[in-house]
Amino acid sequence: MTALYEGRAAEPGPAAEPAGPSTEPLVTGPSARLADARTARRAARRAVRVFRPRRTGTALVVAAVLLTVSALTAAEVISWLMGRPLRLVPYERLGELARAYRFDDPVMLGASAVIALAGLWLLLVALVPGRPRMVPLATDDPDLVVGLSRAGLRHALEAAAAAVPGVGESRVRLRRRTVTVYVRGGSSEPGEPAAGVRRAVTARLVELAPVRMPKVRIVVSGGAG
Amino acid sequence: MRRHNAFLNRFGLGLVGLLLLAGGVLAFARGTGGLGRTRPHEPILGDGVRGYVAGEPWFWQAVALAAVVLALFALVWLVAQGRRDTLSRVEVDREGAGITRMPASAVTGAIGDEVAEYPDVVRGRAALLRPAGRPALRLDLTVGERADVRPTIRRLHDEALPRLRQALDADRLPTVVRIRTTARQTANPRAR
Repeated sequence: MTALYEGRAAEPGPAAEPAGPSTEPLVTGPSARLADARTARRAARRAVRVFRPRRTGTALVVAAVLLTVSALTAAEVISWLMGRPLRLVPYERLGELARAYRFDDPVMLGASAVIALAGLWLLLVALVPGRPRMVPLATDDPDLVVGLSRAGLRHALEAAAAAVPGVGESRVRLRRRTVTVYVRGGSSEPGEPAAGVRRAVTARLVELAPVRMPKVRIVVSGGAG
Repeated sequence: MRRHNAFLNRFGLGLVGLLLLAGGVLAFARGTGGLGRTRPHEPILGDGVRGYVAGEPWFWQAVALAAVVLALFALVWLVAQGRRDTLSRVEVDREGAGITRMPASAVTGAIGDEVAEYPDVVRGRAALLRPAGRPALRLDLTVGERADVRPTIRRLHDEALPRLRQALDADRLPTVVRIRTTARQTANPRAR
């Protein structure tokens, strides 16, 4: 297979990126570590971005509504301009309503407020990046993005905590920046498992190496059981 | 790497949001007397508006144009939601006049099977992502919940991906790996 493609080796990559620090060669020597750190940061940023939500559900609904409303409007107005109104929409009734209601009518004020709030919400959905759907794991290659599902991270940490002697049951909650491990102690001394669980969970986190290392909080409940 | 539709969705949602927000705020301000000279206690469709519209023949033409533009945008936006981001065929060679293509499943099946042989991996599924000229790889892995994913990632990076790049004759193959866990430790009896 290789022989078949030999002639193409010298060609530039088809996926060459529009400039960026990656194009400069990694130098050996003291500055190598600096370049490595920069590559890792780039990889991390990319990983976080890749797993951000794409707003597909909201987009689907809004696009469908927009299409319906604007296509109906276009059809009505154009057919009316051409002298053959379609009358798919009872717009004369709508016109009567618009003549009957006044701007300071409570119904009108309420409707305006609802529309403005809906607009604000859509604007926020568009502008706020949203929480990544997977926990990005660090890699040193910007072309390799790895994400672990949130449930996956939770299960992995729960398994690590449950493996500590003296721990009966463990549950993990992930928040933006902290991981809280709830442990139901199986041993009689309540102070003992916390340190062990912290060690085990932290070790597992270091192994998995998420791009953003969360803080670990241990909550021990219940004594002998 | 591909953020299929992400930009389009945010643009569309932002546009619609801005229109609604502006309309709602203006109407509310009008109703509370916040707009200065206009009187709040006026019908939405007053005589002034009706007279203005009747006197300007281009008004409805402008409305029609705006509606058509919005409808076209909404159509493109909606169709984009239904479009799959995966490739069914992949170009392996573009030499002279001919382009050699092969089914993407030949590539994705091979790497999926290869990765599923790794000790901690229970299931592996791969897909090549658009565009055809410079594909990217998406790899969905299911691993045991006690598995250390680092050796799997390293092996993928050092063995499977270089081989795949060679097979595709690509200098780069941006790859997204999505890892899920399962309570089952492994489906591969040889790896036990």
